[in-house]
Amino acid sequence: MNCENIKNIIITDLIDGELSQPQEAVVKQHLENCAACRQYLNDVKKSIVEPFQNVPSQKLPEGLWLNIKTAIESQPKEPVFNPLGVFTRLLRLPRSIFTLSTSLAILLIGLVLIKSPNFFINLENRQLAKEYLEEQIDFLTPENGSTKNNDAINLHTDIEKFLL
Amino acid sequence: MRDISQEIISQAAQGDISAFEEIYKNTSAFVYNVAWRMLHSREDAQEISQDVFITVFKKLKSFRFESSLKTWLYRITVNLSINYLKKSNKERNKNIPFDDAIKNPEIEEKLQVNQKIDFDTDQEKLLNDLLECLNPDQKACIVLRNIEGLSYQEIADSLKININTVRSRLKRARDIMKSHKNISMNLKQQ
Repeated sequence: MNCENIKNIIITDLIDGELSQPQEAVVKQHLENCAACRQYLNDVKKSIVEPFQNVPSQKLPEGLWLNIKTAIESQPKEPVFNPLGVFTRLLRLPRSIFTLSTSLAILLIGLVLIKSPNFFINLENRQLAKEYLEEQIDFLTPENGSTKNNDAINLHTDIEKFLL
Repeated sequence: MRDISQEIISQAAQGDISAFEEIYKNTSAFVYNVAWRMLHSREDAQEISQDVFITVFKKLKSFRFESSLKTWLYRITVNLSINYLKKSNKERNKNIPFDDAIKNPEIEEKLQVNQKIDFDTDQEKLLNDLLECLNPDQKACIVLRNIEGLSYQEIADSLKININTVRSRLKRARDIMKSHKNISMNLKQQ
């Protein structure tokens, strides 16, 4: 480890006692052989560590608890949860809120339907099914005058002669 | 701080004021101390301490015992103090040109009051000088480490930051304090 790394460790983990024993041993070995880093450690101890040693605690100001207690007691108490109360409060809401929420719900349903990947495919299938059914009805009802259907029926077979 | 039983916390969460007083008695010293070191004003520290305990009383119901009460209290105290510092710095720097600020009698009076602060000891004055050259985040790390004696992990938990962020904030803060001390020593020698 070079001096720059050692100095970074000195100013943080070493003076705060955050190093593991093997890490501390490496740093101490470096310090034994490096006068510059030893000097740096002394400077750090003098300028940063010593001013914070044995700092007295500040005395609590008188009346602090009384102020807190008064502030707590003067605050409005939270209402107890009442599901019926929630329902009645909902009923008291202005009508515009209900109108708005219903409109939003309809819009949302519309969006979901349109955005659904199967929506247009289903629509197309329905169209095809409708056309197919119409053709079948056309085919089965010759009285509607479709020539195409008559041709289809008149195949001059024995069975036709028998049936018709 | 003595250990506070879960029962006392639960009673206080139900609105029992005497149980809450028990919590106050056990924790108010370090709450006030941290606020005082962060803000260096008795009035501001008192105001923040009041806010801390009112907030705790309100939110005690949602306390899930995932962290210790002490860690939670440190977090609230530091956050409220940092917000207060940032807000007051913003107010102070609200586009007032320096010359005009000096001419403003209200600000001039405040500056004179600050200069006349009667520090109990030389150590207090030195501590104030050192802490005042740090930004609020760095100051919080130094106060929790050097004054409250919290480990890096405890600071990380209290401030909800990464342990390496704690390390880098401490390093930066100490570099600043070290150079500040060197400058002031050089000035004294001249």
